[in-house]
Amino acid sequence: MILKTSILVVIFYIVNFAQVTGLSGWNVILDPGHSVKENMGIYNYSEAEKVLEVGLFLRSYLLNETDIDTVYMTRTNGTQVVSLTQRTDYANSIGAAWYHSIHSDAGGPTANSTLLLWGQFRDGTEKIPNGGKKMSGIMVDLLTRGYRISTRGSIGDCTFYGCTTNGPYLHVNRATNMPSELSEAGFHTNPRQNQLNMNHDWKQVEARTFYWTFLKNFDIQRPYTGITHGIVTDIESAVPVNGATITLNNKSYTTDTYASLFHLYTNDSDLLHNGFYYFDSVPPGTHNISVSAPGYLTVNSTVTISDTFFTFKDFQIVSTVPPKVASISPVQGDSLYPGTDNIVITFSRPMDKQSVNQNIAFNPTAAVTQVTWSNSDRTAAINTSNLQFATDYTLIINAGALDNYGNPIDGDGNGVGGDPYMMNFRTKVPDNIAPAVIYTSPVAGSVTSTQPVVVFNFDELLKTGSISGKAKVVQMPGESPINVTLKYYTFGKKAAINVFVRQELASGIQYMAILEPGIEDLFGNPTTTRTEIPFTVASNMTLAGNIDNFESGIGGWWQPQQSGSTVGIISELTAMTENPTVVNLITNSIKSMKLTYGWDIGASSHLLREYFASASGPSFTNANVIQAYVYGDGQGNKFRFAVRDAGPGGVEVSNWFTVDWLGWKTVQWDLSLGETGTWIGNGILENPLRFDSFQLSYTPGSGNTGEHYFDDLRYFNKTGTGVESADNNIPATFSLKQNYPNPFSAGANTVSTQTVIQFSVAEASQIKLKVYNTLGELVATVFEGELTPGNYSSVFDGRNLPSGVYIYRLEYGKGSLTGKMTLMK
Amino acid sequence: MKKILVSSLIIFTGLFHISFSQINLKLLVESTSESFANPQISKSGNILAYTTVNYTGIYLYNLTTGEKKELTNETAAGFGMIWSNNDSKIIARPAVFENKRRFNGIVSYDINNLNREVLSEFSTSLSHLPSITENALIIPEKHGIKTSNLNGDNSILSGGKSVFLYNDKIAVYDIQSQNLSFLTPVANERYLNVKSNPAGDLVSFEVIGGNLYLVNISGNNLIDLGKGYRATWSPDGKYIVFMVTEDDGHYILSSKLVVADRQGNIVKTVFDNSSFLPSDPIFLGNNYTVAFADMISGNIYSFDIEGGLE
Repeated sequence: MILKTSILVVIFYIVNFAQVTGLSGWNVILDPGHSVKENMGIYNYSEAEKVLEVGLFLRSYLLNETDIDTVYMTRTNGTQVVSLTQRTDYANSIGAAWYHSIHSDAGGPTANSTLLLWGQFRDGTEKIPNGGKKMSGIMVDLLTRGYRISTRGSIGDCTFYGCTTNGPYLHVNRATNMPSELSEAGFHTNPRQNQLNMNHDWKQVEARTFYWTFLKNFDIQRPYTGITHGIVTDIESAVPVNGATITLNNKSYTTDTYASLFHLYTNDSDLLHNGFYYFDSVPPGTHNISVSAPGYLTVNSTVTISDTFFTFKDFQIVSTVPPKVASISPVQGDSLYPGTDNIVITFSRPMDKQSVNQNIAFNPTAAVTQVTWSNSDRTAAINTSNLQFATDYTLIINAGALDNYGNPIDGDGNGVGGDPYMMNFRTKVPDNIAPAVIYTSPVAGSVTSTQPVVVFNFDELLKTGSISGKAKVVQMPGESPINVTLKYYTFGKKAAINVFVRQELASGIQYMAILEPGIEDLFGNPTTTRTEIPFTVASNMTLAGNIDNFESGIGGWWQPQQSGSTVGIISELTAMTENPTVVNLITNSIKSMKLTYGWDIGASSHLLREYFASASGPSFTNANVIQAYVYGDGQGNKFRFAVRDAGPGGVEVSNWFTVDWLGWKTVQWDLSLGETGTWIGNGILENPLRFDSFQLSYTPGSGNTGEHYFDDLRYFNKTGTGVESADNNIPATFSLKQNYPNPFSAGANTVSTQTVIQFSVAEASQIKLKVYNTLGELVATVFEGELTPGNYSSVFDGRNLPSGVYIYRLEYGKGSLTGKMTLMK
Repeated sequence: MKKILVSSLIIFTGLFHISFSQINLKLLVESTSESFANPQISKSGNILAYTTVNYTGIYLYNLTTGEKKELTNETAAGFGMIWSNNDSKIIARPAVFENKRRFNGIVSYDINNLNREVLSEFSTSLSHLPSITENALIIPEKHGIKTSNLNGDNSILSGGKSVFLYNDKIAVYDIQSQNLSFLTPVANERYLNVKSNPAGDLVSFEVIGGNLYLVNISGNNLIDLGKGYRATWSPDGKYIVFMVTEDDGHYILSSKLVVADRQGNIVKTVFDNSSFLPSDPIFLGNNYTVAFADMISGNIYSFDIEGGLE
């Protein structure tokens, strides 16, 4: 016993007071990136705050545990605002031997990795003085292992960012006259990561790996570490546990709580958790370790301390709180369609499926035929086929329903299990209303690209078996079918049919998108009217090239959070990802870009900038048209294009498009019109242009969450202006054709109030195309201007006119021609 | 790693003059495979010394003859380099790295015969930059101030007071009395880029993490100029020109050049164009021509201040 005590005393002496030698004559300047609270991460904890603490820890280790000459820091507190030039000027002024810049990364909420960036010239070689590359290689390994996340590796900064100067790219690598590197330890935009970042001792993890990196770079043996740390989580939810107490060798560590820490960042007492604990100066050997937390079973275990690195010891602890119904649809007192709507129950804990299934009942009695479980046995969907229409029911889950640990359900939610859950609801009367078309595209009478995508949106879900052959595109006259592919999409309780035109359409020919009657909702109610959308095809747009078709992935795009222009979002609901399923079938695409957004409706401004950072993006001009296929969610929020230009501000934007459609739609910005929206530019499109970004914004009152997909971002050359030139033939005489369709109408289920008027111009003339009523009164001037010889078509919209007969008149230099058309409403 | 949009207009650097918003910009030194920085004009105003963007090497450009030559290719030589009063030498602090340790030395370079003379041996502890007065070289060493005669003769050291950084403080060294004192115009702060005016009565300096200031050599009459960096004095000592930058923590996003007078009045912004990131401004031997290095192109330009400064 006496011997054991002596050994422990010696060990503690070693752990606490070991002095590392080998750094004499060396110094380093530590550069905690940014200042004050810059680069705010998720949940109001900033990169600047975190990296300062890391730097202070690291300085402390180096000064207290080694024989290093000295350690400099570019900033030492949270009030200094230190510019980049001051950072490098200070390092160069003191002639420091090494420069290490400490940062964390930003991106979408799911991104989280480490990265080391060393100074690199444009030709790929390392900056001089070199050494940062080797240091980075060591550091990224230790940091990544310490953080237990993935890594993007150790990369030269010119390779990573793409250098347009001689390089290096990063100012701290470029303007320092000593070896240097910059570390990115995890993403402060990642919810899990930034909740860890808030913990004071978590910063020691990062600082220790940097410290050990320095030692390894000097081939100094790492001293005994004696550090164990880990995360305590709820075994079922995987949510870290606040206020858990971990006890090791009579020392205890309590994980952060709202009262101890998280109140600094939120008013929501249950929002933040990290479950992190940290012990250092732990003697070698195996030790008893225990975890206890209110509402959880206590765990007793052991930990054997590694002598070369951190000893990780995580705990998954089991709650003693009985399960309850966390949410249910329909809610108490609400109604559902029997056989169409399920009753969906989400429990607070994973459930024992068999016991729950056996304890579900309805009053009045109805058989429970099917219960489908999901969400790791937390969510049950109860089939309602056996329920009657227009009946009041009570759903009962008896107390025999258990969770996976045998705890009986807490029906009334008072914290004590063993009582049944009950919910009253009513079944609806049968639906006998046909589905309604609520949106169509293209606009009737409009001019589309040569392979348009047609959009039909419905106010309810459809029977997929009723759709086939009902949506089509035909050539007029004669309704010759065009090769198309139909795709059906659902959006909650709404639906969309996209008609993808699979062949090149010709200019000068009339086409019609048609939705035939007979499309049924889920209750078998069919549509009874025909929807017709006449359109023509542009002759003056030719594809000039792809900006990005996304077939190579989304590597050229930033996450919205990476742009400093992005504001007013809910970061954890916002992400840009590659998508292999929702794609543009016209181009046989196999990948698209998915943009999921969440708007903070309390924010004062809202902008999501989805930045295209690819240096290889094509250059185009203000004579082009840029176009994208945009899959809308119908929420009514806004979308626009942005291009980089050579003028003041450097970026111009299009006007906003309201995303009120469901499914794919072609959206374009005709740059040749010179129309711009308002942002940081001067409103003038100054060549050369490159694509900058898709931008979204929130429309107050619209849904604040949703998703869009983007595919086949392209640009087109545009030739000619004015009315649509139908072909290249030169007509021998002036002529005016019968309008089509005629009569044209605006019935309840017919969307066309437009008709197409075709005419021929035999010689260059001043042309007027006007419409008169039968009293001879001018009601519209459809076109007026100079035209060269050719065949043309123009669109007349009669939506603001009463039903009746109208005269359309083509006037040219030497005469005029007239036609008669009928508008029916 | 928050990122903010950077936009730039690439200009044709092969042109020797670029007219831009009333400014006739003259290309002095064109970037090659190296980007250049930190122009320093000789006392006579005839020769421009400059270095690369990370201060490797010193190069000379004779503004009269157009001759260019390399003075040294040593690491770190271009940071803090200073001209001797007779234009014959440049004093610098190059560095060598051995076994990852950095050894700084004070070296004199003769611009005519390119001779190199080590004035203070290379050491890991030489963490301060030298300064000069008329014929005196002042080297702040770890344990005291070392002085020597720049001319290499036995003449008495002259030149009044020298101002330099010493252990993050503003040091004032009287070459006659050999008295070392310190200015603490802003309490509990670290200082940077300390420059005294030609008359030696005013000092410009930055607070690390703070602003640009002017202060009397006696430590009185502190004037806060706001954010500003790398100020340098006009030959007549009436003005300073400095840069005002914005950055995102990774990259400098914008920069403009501003002139203030010795009373601390901001006279005017003399260069502000989003196609350039001007840095290291200096008066080019007179009170109306400013030279700067462009952090985008790596070129060094000069221009005459529109309307002058009077």
